[in-house]
Amino acid sequence: MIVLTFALAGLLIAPAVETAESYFHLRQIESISSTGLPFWHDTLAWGGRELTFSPVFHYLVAGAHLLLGGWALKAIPAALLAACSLLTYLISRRLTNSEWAGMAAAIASLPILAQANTLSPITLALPLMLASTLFLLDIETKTVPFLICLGLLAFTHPTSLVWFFGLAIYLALSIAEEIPLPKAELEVGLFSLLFVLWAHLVLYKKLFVEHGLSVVWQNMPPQFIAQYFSEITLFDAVIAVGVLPSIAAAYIFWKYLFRHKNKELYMIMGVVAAATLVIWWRIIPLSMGLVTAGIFMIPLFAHALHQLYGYVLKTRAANYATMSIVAVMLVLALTSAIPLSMMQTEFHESDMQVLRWIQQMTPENAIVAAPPRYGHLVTAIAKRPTVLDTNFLLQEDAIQRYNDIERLMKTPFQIEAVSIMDRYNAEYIFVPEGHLAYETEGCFRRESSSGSAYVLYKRSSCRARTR
Amino acid sequence: MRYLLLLALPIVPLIRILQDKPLLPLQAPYEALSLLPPPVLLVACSGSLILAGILFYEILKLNKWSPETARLALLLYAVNPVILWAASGQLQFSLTCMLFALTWWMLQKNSNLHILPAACLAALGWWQALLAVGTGIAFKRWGATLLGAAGLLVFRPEVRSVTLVEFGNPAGYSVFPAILAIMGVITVWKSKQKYYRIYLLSTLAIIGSIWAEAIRAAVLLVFSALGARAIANVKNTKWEIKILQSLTLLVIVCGVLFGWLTNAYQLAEAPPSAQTAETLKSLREYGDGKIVVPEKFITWAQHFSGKQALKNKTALKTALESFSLDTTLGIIKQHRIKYVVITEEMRHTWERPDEGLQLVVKNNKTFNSPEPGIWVVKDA
Repeated sequence: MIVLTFALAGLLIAPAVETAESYFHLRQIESISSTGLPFWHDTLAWGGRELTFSPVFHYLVAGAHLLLGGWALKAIPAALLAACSLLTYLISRRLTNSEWAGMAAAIASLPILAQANTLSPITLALPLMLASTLFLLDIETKTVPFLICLGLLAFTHPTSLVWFFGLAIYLALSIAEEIPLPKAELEVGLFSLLFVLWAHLVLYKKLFVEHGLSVVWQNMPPQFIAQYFSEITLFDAVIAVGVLPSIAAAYIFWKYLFRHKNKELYMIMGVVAAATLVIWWRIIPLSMGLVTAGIFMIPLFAHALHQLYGYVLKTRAANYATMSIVAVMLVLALTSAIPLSMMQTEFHESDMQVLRWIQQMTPENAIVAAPPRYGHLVTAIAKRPTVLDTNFLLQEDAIQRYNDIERLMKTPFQIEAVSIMDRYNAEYIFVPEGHLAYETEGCFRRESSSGSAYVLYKRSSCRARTR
Repeated sequence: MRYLLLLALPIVPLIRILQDKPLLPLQAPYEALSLLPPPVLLVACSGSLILAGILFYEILKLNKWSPETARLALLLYAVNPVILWAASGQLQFSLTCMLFALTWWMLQKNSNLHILPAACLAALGWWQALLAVGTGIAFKRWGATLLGAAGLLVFRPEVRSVTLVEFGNPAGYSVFPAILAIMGVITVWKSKQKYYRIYLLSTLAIIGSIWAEAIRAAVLLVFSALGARAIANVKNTKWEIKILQSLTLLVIVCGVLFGWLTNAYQLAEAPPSAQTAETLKSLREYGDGKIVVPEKFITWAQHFSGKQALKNKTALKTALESFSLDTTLGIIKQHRIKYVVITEEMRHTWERPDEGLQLVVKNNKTFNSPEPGIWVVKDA
């Protein structure tokens, strides 16, 4: 209870991370709250498009929204992440048989969880992954809770595949290390593999048929992939998940791959390895991958900390064992401050002001062209149709639209801008920062601005001749 | 009774009839239609596959498989998604399946008549000839091997990579039958010493089938047999967690059925559409002259309209993509083209509605559109 209260309070106080996708989830939650159903056909984005996603998280938040009002939008993700903290405590306690190591893990998990504090299904997938791991450690007695978590996890978010990949690595590691696996675990492994495959095939059938295996890159234009799955150096990754948990995880990997064997740790190591591999292969957004890897490193950190304590107790400095642990936790707190201080909100209040102006002052069917990252904001805040957003799936002309909007934002020629605007029947351009070279010419008029953001109106008398 | 499910094989043509669509989906059946009319082609395909299924069951019985596992294998064969594709007019694949099963069955029966189906198999193409060679080696019968080897010299291999049914390829593998086959391999691994030759050839066939459609006909039988062993193993082994055993079997059934339904839907929705077929058929009432359609539609255009279509790749590409009326007219004169057909289904060839030939045909000084989708070139 202490852990849960502490974590919940911390996450509620911490500022929520705003991402482009969180505005899409917000619209879905609003739709469920008002109609009882998510919308599968988005009339505002891409000039009308089909959507494929799992609405489990959206129903959960919409249910809470009915009871708690707008507060639920922040409280539910925070509560789910607080549950992660509790689960890391339980897993770490289970691995180390130590109450204080579990508490240390719960505290250490908070900086990582703060990075995931956003309105996204990942906040539900993370506790389900941790709960599945916890129940798997005692599968003979916890079969039913495990199956419930597994069922929910498979239908929550595609990131859940990382956990199943981790389970496969765990089984492979145990076999390679010649550790006798209980029959129950092999049964769970087989069932999980078949179930998750089936669930994903059913859920994302349309996407698989349309995009094949390249669905992992979400039909994104190559230039956008480079931004979305941005490359990261090892140093940056270590800073993001925390210096001490990374060092502890590296130590545990070294120790239990080359020196000792520990079947229970292999399960956790499997998920960390799986998350690291998918980040490396760039098939998962970096932030999601790092949070998944980071949260599963925490029980490894707790295990290393417990070993350190045991080691210090055997030395002449035994009297300082508790002090050494406190010192480590202090260093952890200091190093965790780095990724937290680097956290930036993706959007500014000035963007919101301009978007609210668009909502109030423009006709309801006016199409607004905006950079892809701002597409979800245009549909959620301004409630206007937009040319594209960051969800490129099932869009045949995704590359064309992306290139057109890129040109619209960069071209020095008014005629090219007008031609692109006409192609999509767009009347307004939302410019979040910088300025457009052609805006001073006759066809465009600056309508509203706030900070660095502004909106341009294209005069209806200006039209490009079709070929 | 056990063969009753095999009667469901021609389900895709039945669905297409109900939807008023042309009986056969995809292009390959229309290439074979010069030999057989559509209903005969369908009967030939389904008949071959049903016979292959019956022979497959008999082979398993000859190998002393329990009736329950053999029935399971037959069931997996009947609900394999690729069977739906084959039964929808894929004559070569269906014949390969049947002739392979027949050769195998006769070899198991020690009949010298196996030479006949082996010869027919080898006469179908390079990969089928390779199958005949493999079957001959597996049973140490050199007649089939030599016939196959002769086929290898006569034909040239045609390579077509395969993906998964779930990834939109109706002729591909399906995820669940493939996983069941892997589980089956693990189940039968302990008898690898005894059957090493068959195991080795099956492995080579599975690898080869990634590029060769014909070999997939044989692999289909191997997968069904292995899948049956896997399911039997899941069902008959004592599980630690009882509920997981039932759930695993349930997921297997759902997974296999999902692949089958996905392919049934894909094939039922596959081109040509009713509108394309009707538009092209109406061209039969017009005078002689070549037609222009996007490359993917050439086979159907020729079949339904009874007219020749422009096949010259360079000319066709220019005609479809050019915005210039003069360039298009040049090609029209050079190749004596009289008609342009662009149906709704064909419009997906272009990225935009105002592109290339779609834009050019709007010039009513050069083209006349007597009915939707058809443009007739006006005489100069």
